[in-house]
Amino acid sequence: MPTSAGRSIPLGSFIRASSLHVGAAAAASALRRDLVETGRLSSTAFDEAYAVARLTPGTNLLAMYTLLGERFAGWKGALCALAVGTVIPSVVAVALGTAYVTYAQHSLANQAMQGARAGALAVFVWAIVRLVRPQLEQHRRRGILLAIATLVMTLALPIPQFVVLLIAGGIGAAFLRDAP
Amino acid sequence: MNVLVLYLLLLRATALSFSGFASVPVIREALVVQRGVLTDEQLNSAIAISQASPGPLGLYVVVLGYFVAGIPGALAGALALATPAILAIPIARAVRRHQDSQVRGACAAIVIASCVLMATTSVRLAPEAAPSLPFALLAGLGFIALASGRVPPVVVIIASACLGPFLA
Repeated sequence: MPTSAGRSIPLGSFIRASSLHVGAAAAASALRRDLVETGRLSSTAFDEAYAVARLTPGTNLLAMYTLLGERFAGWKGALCALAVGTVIPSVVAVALGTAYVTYAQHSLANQAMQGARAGALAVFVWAIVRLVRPQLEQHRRRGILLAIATLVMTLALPIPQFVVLLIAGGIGAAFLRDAP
Repeated sequence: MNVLVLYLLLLRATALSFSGFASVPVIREALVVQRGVLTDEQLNSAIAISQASPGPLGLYVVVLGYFVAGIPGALAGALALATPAILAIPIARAVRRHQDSQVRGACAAIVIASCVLMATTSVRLAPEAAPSLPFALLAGLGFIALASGRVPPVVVIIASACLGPFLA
């Protein structure tokens, strides 16, 4: 599928995803809602960006921003999306880091952080559900079998996650290619 | 510590890993063990902060940079985090040149497999994120709130932070 260089970059979507969501799963799920469900990007293009980002070295989320930005406006879009995805969270993280250092010994701050981590776990798990649901709707039986196979590989075999993804990709190329 | 050296050390770690926290062992060895410019406590704190901050989980690299060398260190960390993402474009263009149903199937499978990997990670993180029944219930309530479709994730995290002191 060719790139769509020249379209306006959905900066608002990238700003929201990078400032309101913790972790790649939550941000990816939010971007999918903003870009795919509104018709600005096809589901195929989004899935490709997500999948390639998982295979790219470094932070998956920033690679995904780069690829999604590139879909809209080539290299300019890629660099804009990457800048938004990096700068905004970095500023927030440094501010939180400063506050954490200042109040690290304060029990109330530690307790609030513990609560926040529990909330972040909920967000993380929900984001996984949102990301996998469209795939399982499209490839129900084979998708579930693939998920089980992935789980077995992860738990029973001492292979890196990157290799697990490559194997899954090979299986998908062979058995998930006839999706409607 | 020289900021350029810090950038290169952090870049080496981020460019050789394929997920947010996979670079932790490399960074620990370089900054804590070999150079002593960081402590394990600071490393753990940076990881905790990145879990509560918006953005990628690998953001802890920026916080580490800040701990080591202030704002210039944070900039070095941000650049180290962003640089490998540029590689995604030539990889994606190679994939698109061979766009057909097999590639689409492979992409769909990778999405499914990565969700399974994330699910196993969440199981490993759960004991630290929800170390007691009250916090586990808090996480469960957060999930239900999100599933309702009416509560944004950031509200769940802020509300959970506010409730944390009452549950500890």
